[in-house]
Amino acid sequence: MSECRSPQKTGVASSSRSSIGNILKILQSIFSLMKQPADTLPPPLLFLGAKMRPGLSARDMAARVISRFSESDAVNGEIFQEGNNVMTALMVTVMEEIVNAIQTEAKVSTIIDPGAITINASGANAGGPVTVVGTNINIPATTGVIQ
Amino acid sequence: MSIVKQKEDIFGNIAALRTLTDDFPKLSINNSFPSINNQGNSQDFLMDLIFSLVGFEEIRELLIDVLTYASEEAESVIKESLKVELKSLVACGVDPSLPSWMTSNGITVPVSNVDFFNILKTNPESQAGGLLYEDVAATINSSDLNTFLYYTIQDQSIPHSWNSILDFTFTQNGTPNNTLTIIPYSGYNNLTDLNNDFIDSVTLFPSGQLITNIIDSLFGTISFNLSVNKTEKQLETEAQIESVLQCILDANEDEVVDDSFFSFSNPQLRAIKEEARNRKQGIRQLKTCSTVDVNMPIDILTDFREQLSAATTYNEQRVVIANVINTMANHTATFAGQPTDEISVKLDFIGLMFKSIMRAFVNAVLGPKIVTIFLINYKIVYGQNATYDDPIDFMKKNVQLIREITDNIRDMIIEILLQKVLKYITALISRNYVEAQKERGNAQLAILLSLVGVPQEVIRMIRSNIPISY
Repeated sequence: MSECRSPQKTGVASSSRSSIGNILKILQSIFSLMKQPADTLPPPLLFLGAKMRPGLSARDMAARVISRFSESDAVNGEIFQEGNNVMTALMVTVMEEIVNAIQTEAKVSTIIDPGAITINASGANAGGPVTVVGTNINIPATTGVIQ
Repeated sequence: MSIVKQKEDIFGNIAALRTLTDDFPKLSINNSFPSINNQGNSQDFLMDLIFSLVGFEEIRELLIDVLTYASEEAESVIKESLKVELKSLVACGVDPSLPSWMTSNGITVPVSNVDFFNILKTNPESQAGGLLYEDVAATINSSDLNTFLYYTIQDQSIPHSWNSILDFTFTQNGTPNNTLTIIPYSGYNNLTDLNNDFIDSVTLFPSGQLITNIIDSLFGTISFNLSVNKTEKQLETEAQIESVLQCILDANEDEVVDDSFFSFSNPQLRAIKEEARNRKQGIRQLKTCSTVDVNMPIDILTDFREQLSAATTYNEQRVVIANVINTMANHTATFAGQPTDEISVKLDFIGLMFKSIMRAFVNAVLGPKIVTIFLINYKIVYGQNATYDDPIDFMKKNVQLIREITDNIRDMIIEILLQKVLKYITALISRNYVEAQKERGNAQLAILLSLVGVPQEVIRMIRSNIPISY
C-alpha cells in the first residue's frame, strides 16, 4: 500500500478511544503503579543487632559476586587467556567504588517523629528554677534517607 | 514527549518487567519494530506490542478470533453509523418526505455508478462468482442484494422488487446505456423510513466474504481469475480507494480530512500502479532476503467457502477459519526459498491480513448494497441531476460518512487489540509484583536474622532455599 499523504502526527491525545495519544496514555498509566513502602524493622532488634554488624567490605562483596558467576554463565577464572579474568577484576573495581561511595560520600538524614521520644525526668524544688535531667525510656524508630 | 519516545518507553518498561519472569518468550525488544515511529497508526503499534509480549502464535489466534467474531459487531456498528449519517443528511432543513419525482420516476444511473468494484459483471455461477455472491440458487429471490441485482440485470427492462422497499429495472440501451432505474416501493413517503428499512434488509458481511475480499485485495486471487479478469485500470481505481481509506484510517481524530486525502502524489501513484499490476498478475511481492512473488490459488478460497457453509456454530466456523489461515500461511511460506525465511514470510502474511481487516470492513460500504441507498439520498439532498465522477469523488462528497465509519471500525478493532495487550501486560505486572513481594519478604528476613547475630553464611543458605525467582 502506498504511503499516506501526511505521515507526521501530533502527540496530542484526541477524544477518540483508538487514537495513539489515548492508547499511549492508557499503557503508560499501567506502569506507574505505586510501590509499597518498605517494612519498618523492630526498634529493639535494631538497637541490639546493629551494633554487631561487621560493616561493608568491597573484597567480601566482590568475592561473593564472583562465586556466583556460574549462576549467570559468566566465565570464572582465567580459562581462555593469560592474566586476570577481566570480569573478576572489573567486579572488584565496581564493588570498591560502590563501597567507597557509600562510606565516604553517602549521608544519612534522619528525622524523629513528634512524640516518638518519651522522657523520664527528675529534679528538685528549692524554691527556684528546676533543672530537669532526663533520659528517653523507649527505643523510638526514626526515619532516614540516604543521600 | 514525542510519540516515538513514549512508544520506546513502553517497550522499555516491558523489557524491564520481563527481567524477573521466565515464562514469557525471550524475544528481543528494541526499536527495530517498524511501528516505533512518530506516526499515529495505533493498530501497528499494538500488534508489535502483542508480538513482543507473546509472539507470532498469539497474533494468529487473535486474527482468527477477529475474523470469526468481529463481523457481526462490525455489521451492527456500520449499520448504526449509516442510519445516523443518513438521518443527519436530511436533518439540516431538508424535507424528510420523498419528493414526487422520486416516487414517480425514481432515479436512473449507470450501473458503474453503483458498482465501483465491477462485482455485477461476474457470473454468480462461476468459480469466482461463488466467492462474491451469496444465496445464488435463489437467483432473483436471493437474500443477497448483489445476487438480486445480477439477476435483475439479466432480466432486461423488467422491474424487480427488493423486499418491497425498492424497485430496480435494468435498461441496456439508451443514453447513457446499461442503467438501473431505482424507485421506492409504493407506500414509502418518508426518506428516513426508507433508509432504515433498506439498511436493515441487507447483510454487509456474509460469513467468509471478509476473508475472500481481503485475499483478493492482497493477491488479486479473484480479480485475476478468467471469469472476472478485471482491467488494470479498474484495479488502479480499487488501489486508489484502498489508499484513501488507509490514509483516513491512519489519520488522528484532530486531523481534518481535507481534499488532499483524495489526491495522490507521484510516489503514491507509482505504488498504486505497481499494486494494480501485481493484482492483475495474481501475485503479491513479499520481502525475505530478496523479493518473492507469491500467489494464492482460488481453490483454497473455494474449499474454504464450502467448508464454512457447512459450519453451523461459531466454534465450527472458527476451526474452518483457523484451517484456511494456516493453509494460506503455509502456502506463502513455500515461496520463502530458505527454510529460515519461512517464519518471516508467514508472519508477513498474518500481519498483512490483520492490517487489511479495517480496510476490508470500510470497503464493504462502497459496494452496491450501500452506495444504492446513498445515491438516493444524494440525489434528494443535492438535486435530481447531481452526480459524481468516480468512486474517489463519491468518497470525497460523502467524507463525513467515510470518516464516521472508519472511526467506528478503528475503535472496534483497536479495542480488541488493546484488551489483549492490557491482558498480557497485566499478567506480566502481576507476576512481577509477586516476585517483588517475595524479594521484599526475603530481604526483611535476612535483615532480621543478621540483627540477631545469625552468620552471613547461614543466612545465605536460608535465602537460597527461598529463591527470589523460580
